Amino acid sequence: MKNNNNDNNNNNNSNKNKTKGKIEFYKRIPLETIPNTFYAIFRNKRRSMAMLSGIVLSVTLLSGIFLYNAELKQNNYDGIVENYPYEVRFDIIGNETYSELSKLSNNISADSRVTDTTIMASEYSNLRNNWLDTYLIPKATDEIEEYMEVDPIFVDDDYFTGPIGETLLSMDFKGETDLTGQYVIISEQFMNHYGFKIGDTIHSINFTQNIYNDEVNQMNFGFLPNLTIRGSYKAILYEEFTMDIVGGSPVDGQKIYLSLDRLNDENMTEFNEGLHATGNFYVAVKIDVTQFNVGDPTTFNDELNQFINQITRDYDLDIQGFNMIEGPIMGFQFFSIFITILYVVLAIPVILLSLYLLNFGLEMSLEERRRLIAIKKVQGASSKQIFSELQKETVLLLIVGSVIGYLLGIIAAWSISSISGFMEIEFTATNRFLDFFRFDLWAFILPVGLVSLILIIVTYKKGKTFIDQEVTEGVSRREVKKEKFFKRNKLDVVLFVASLSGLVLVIIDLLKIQVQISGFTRFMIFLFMPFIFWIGGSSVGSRVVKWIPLKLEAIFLRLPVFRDVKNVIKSGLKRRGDIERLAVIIIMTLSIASLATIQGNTEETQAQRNIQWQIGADWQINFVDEGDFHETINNISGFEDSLAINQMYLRTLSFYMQLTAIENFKELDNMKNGTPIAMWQPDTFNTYTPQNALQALYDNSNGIFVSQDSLFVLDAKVGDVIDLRIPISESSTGETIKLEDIKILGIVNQLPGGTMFSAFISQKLFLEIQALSLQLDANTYENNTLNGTQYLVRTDKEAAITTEEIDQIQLTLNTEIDGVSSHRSYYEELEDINTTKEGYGITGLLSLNFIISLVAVLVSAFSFSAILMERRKHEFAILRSIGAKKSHIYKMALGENSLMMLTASIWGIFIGVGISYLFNGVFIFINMIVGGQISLNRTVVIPGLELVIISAVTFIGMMLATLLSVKSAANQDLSLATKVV
Amino acid sequence: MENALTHTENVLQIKDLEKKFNEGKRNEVYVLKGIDFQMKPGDFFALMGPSGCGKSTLLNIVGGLLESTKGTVEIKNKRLGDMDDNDLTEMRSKNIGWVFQSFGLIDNLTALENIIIPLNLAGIYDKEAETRANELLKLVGLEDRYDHFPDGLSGGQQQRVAIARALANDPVILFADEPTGNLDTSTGLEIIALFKELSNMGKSILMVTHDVSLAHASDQVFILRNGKVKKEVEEITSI
Repeated sequence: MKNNNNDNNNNNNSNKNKTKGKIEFYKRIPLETIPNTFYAIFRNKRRSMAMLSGIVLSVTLLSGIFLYNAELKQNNYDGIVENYPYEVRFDIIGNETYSELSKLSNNISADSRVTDTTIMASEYSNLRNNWLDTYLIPKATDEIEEYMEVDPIFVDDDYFTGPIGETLLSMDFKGETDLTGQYVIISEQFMNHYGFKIGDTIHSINFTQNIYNDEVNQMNFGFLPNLTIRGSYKAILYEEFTMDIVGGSPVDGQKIYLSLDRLNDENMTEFNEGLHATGNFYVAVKIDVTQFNVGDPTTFNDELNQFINQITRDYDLDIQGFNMIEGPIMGFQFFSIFITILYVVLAIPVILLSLYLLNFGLEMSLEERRRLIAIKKVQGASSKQIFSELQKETVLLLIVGSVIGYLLGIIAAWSISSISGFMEIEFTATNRFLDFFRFDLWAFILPVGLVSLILIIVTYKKGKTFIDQEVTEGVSRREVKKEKFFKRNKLDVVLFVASLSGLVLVIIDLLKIQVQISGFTRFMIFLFMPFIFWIGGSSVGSRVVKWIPLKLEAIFLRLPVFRDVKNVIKSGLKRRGDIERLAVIIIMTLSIASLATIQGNTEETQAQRNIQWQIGADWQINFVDEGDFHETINNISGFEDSLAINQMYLRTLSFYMQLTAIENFKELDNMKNGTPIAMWQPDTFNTYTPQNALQALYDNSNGIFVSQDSLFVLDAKVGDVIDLRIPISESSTGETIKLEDIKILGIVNQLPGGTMFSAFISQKLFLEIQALSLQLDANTYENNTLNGTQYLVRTDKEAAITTEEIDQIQLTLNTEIDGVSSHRSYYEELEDINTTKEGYGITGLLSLNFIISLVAVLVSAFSFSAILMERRKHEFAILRSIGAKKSHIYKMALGENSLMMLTASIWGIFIGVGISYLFNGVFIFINMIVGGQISLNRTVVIPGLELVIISAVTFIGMMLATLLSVKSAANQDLSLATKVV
Repeated sequence: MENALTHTENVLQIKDLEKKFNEGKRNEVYVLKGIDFQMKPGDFFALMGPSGCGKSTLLNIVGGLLESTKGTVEIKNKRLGDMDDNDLTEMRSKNIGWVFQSFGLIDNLTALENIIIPLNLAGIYDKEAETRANELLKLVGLEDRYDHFPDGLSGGQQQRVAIARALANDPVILFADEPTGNLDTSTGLEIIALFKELSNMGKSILMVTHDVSLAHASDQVFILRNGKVKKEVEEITSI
């Protein structure tokens, strides 16, 4: 018993000690000091604001990017899940009779996790050693070009009655779903391609099943004639705010839906038996995603696989289930990692900027306390006590700043998702805001963690220095400013000069000088040099903003307006100090704002140029066959004139060139009249303007413009003469006629219409080659019209064309003109890119960079101007006591700052332009990855007026900040301010 | 000589001057209680009193840096209370010279440039301003230090530059608030000797100081106690 009592006592003591320990721990948290700390924060608004703004900006930016990225990923991931009509399919090994499939289907339907099942048949996979070749023949013709490969899906009668079929019905479905008859459902894109409409009849579909294994090579054929289009759906291409990674789903553009009954048609017996023999029938299963952990792709995949195995285990027969969305989800996960990395790269400058602001804010905050710290030390406060006050203020500001920052981050993320172009924000989707308005643990923890880490490092490093300073130094507010290691050793100049090598490369590229630099080296230069240039350039900027005003001082101070205060301004220009650091922040922020503006405009221009190049004119019409369609096209209401493009392959040496001709004589005349049909780009030709290039072809019909790649392959250079080998069309042995003295006039980079080519030749040469090939007299052909498969069209209204007029023309092309295989309207697609929200948010991120930079400029200007002016109150008071009016004080401060700020504004733009050119390589890379068009050079667009406006706004903002800060200094109590040292 | 006054005219005339801080509040402080005081050209007076008695407040009011609660202050027969901010600035620029304990020189400007500042502010520029500044440097015995920056001057020299700056626009009166507070005794005595010289030249000087020996170098010592100013002799008698 005694022992027990002892044990109990020991336990009690141990528990008491634990409780005591806990109480001691809580006691150590200075809760009672929180009101005082809040009071200190409110009393010292300036320094609190300086630090708070750094915290808020950093957290906003980082949280915003995390939230946006998370939502983008979630949205696309949801897209994958939603756009797959069924997630799982089951196959009965060795026995795929309809009755067995029905039994399996009913069995699976009984599972509470399943919402729908249906029986289907289609190409299974190459794993089964068979594949389908299915060709749709739209019209009764033997022309092989008219065939189109399709993926047939045979569905049960109940397909459209359950959730599986609803996916297709939700895709802008038109027509009827009943397939019991000679009916098909095809995609709208398919219909447009062939000019079909619902109710039209497709000539036939040829089915071939190829079975291949070690022992047997077999082909099973099927044929379905006269199929009526029952319905259409709009296949997934690009969706708003969605990446194009859903290709290959059961609802993509290649699918053609038919009834399972069609397999019983008389011409389908062999094919049907083949499908059964190789196991191409299956039960499609749609699950109830709410019963799965769908939020996490990996877990969702695992749960789906578990579900498949549970069904397989519980069924009597040998069945095999397949997870249909595993592949896309894995692909998506890889893609999303890549996109995240890209976002971070894009956001690095602004992240660094906000961290710099944070650091600077804390430093200014410490500076403000220099005297207070010294006085407290005189009064006997220990360094620990003083430091703890600083800590408490920092922690409170961090908490408040993190909450504000996260909330602003939500708005920032929502804003990016609402951007359709650089700084074009349309806040229409309020429901999307609700998507973002949630607590994302990682989007909060990571930014706040990073900011806290920086704060801890800076607070300890800088705080210790301040607190340990000499008391006299603190009281007198005089400090011996030691230049930072970076500047002392002129590392900023070294970095800046080193980064200029990147700019030299840019200039070499702009001047089109051929230098052998590997793609990897080039990419590394373009990836790292912008950062080095930015940091080095901004730091060098602090030297420039001191140097230039001093050089201009003599002229500047001669201005009559500064006559009465010129000595004070002179003094200010010499002094600078902290204001140089403000200049660094201004240069850093302004350069990022410039980068965002330039690259934002470049991105938009590039997107526009891309469709200008792809479509080539107001309208592009492609025909199935080559022919003279000028009259047909020109007769369409709304069309004004057209230009034919034609292509042929010809051999020179051992290289086959794809020669492209356009009606260059006609277009040259159009150009001279200022009405070209094609949308020529300034960089279509190297060293030639488009008009000069066409003129050169006119003057020298044996001239040829060759692509850069072809020139390299042919080991030729501009000015060289080559021979072309023209095949004799009737020769069965491949005989050719040699066409000599074809002169390479220059280099062509792209051609309107998005055609692939090796060389661009004149219409005359093209016709001559055609005549020679047919062994006809070339002279008789030279005045012929150029036929084409592609036509570029100028409309009579150009940009003024209305949506209704576009629709009308499209209808005419679809229904009234024979032989049109496809057509594109430039203004329709332009409208699309101008209104569609960006899936990848590059312009969104650039817009965020722009906004954050401008906010940072203004916050820095206001916070730090206020602090700097506060420090000069004594000086201003002395000046007032010796006869300076308030207007003199304003004039002094503005005069001192204006030259510096003006220099900083101009230098900031210069650095921004430099980074934009350097960063262009990275953007080219980004566009390559996200599937953008890279055939066009990404020409940097410098929006001069916008840059001047940004520079002016920054300058005015800084002057305004100075003015407001000086106001309190000018209106201060002179009797007090003259005394304070 | 705009600032010339007849010897009998008052340069500074204070009548019934009162100053309260935080008037009407619980923490109201009644610092000056009806002060009457006059100075004539060439007077060099020292004002003494215990800490917190209101010496600097009085100086700030008469020097146009602080408003009084009641009473009038006239410099050269012009009432400060009737002036707006610009007029007050004009008064400080043309008629008043301020000398502070901390000198108040601008670090990045030479001695000469520091003196030129008030001249420029008063509309005197270029050669004229430079000549005048050089004359003043000569007057304070620092003509060879014209191109020195404050950091390169001793405390006494800095205060001499500050006095030269105060004299730039030929004021009728100088207000000096603890001008020797940051200096050692011998340097302090040199500054007082300079004030004496200036007083002989006709400048009126009102100096606040704690240093009895320096105060007695002035023409007359006044004591501020309980909000009232008395001549030192009267004060001693009353005690």
